[in-house]
Amino acid sequence: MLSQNSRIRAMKSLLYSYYLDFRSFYGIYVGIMAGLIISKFLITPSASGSSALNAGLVNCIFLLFIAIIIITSNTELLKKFSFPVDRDLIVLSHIICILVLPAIMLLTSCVFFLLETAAAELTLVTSGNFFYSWIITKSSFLTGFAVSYIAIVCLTSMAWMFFAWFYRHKIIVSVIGGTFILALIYLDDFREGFSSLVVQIFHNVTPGLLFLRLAAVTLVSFALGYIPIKRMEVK
Amino acid sequence: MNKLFVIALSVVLVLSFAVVYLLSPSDSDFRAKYAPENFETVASFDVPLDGSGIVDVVSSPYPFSFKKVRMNIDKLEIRINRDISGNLPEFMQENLKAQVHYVPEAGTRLNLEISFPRPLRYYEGDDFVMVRFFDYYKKLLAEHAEIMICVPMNYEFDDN
Repeated sequence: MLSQNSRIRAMKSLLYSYYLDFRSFYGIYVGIMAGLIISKFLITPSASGSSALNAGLVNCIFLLFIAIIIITSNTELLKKFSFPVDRDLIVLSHIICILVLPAIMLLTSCVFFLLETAAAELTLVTSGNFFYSWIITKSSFLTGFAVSYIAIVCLTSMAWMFFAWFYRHKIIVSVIGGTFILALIYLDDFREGFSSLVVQIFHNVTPGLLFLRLAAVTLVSFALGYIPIKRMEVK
Repeated sequence: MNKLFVIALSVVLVLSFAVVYLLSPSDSDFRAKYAPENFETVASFDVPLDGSGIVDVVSSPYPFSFKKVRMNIDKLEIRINRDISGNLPEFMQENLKAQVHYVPEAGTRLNLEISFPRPLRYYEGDDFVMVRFFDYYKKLLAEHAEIMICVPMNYEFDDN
């Protein structure tokens, strides 16, 4: 019981330290989104470009990828190891971050989407040749949000798995990764086989089925990424 | 202070999600918004009604999207959606320049050229791009158009 309480406290403090780490990433994300709105409505003459929902999606993938490269590095991992934090708690905290951060970032993109709409309404009052359309429906918004969320989680978990292996076995992973990329570039059959596998996941599916498929890929990535971190020695 | 900020931020995030959801139209309302009845004719051209013909839209109405429709009418018409924020039909009534060029050597072929003053300020509040993986939503969101080009039933559009 005592040990369980101490593990829960350790988990809380670990998550708090990740919260402090991710605040700067979130700040960058908010900064990019705000900059995009300002440039869209104040600097460029056309106000065209991706909406905040899509800009948020792309930014989220990009920033989480960088975050994953950092948090899986040996230096960062060893910083977090202090009794009673062990590898299981580290992996669990990473999984919680991978599940929670995309939701926060996508919800933030909704805030910016509303700000964009407010800016559009304001521009409508001040400009005679400004027009805007909302190409979104209730069901498409919910579906888009859910599918974007699981797609980001899936991509992030795959990046997490890859870098967890990479930092532990740099040479082997580099050789395998390099061979894979070269095969994709030079071997037509391999490229076609791989792309048909990817197409299989996305082709002709319902949103629920795609969600389940990407969730399955996420679970496999979590399981595979757990192996190299579990094998790490605590210094 | 920190805790209060996090709680306030969480409430704002959840509320913004709810507001976007509530402001969005239902699928049927969205379809109704882009139904042919919701478009207003701003330009029309007399065209030959005997035999068959081809209409080629040679200029792009960027940044607006347009759809091409064959219907039971006896003229070539350019219609503008009434529900676009910013009174687009009135702007187009005043500024649209459209010309039909006959190309007699290619049968009854009409080249339609559309122009209006640019740059226009236009914002498209688009949904998450991932939603277009699904045929249903791809077709639903493709209903969206600011401009509709309508031709009589004996005409085809050149899609090349």
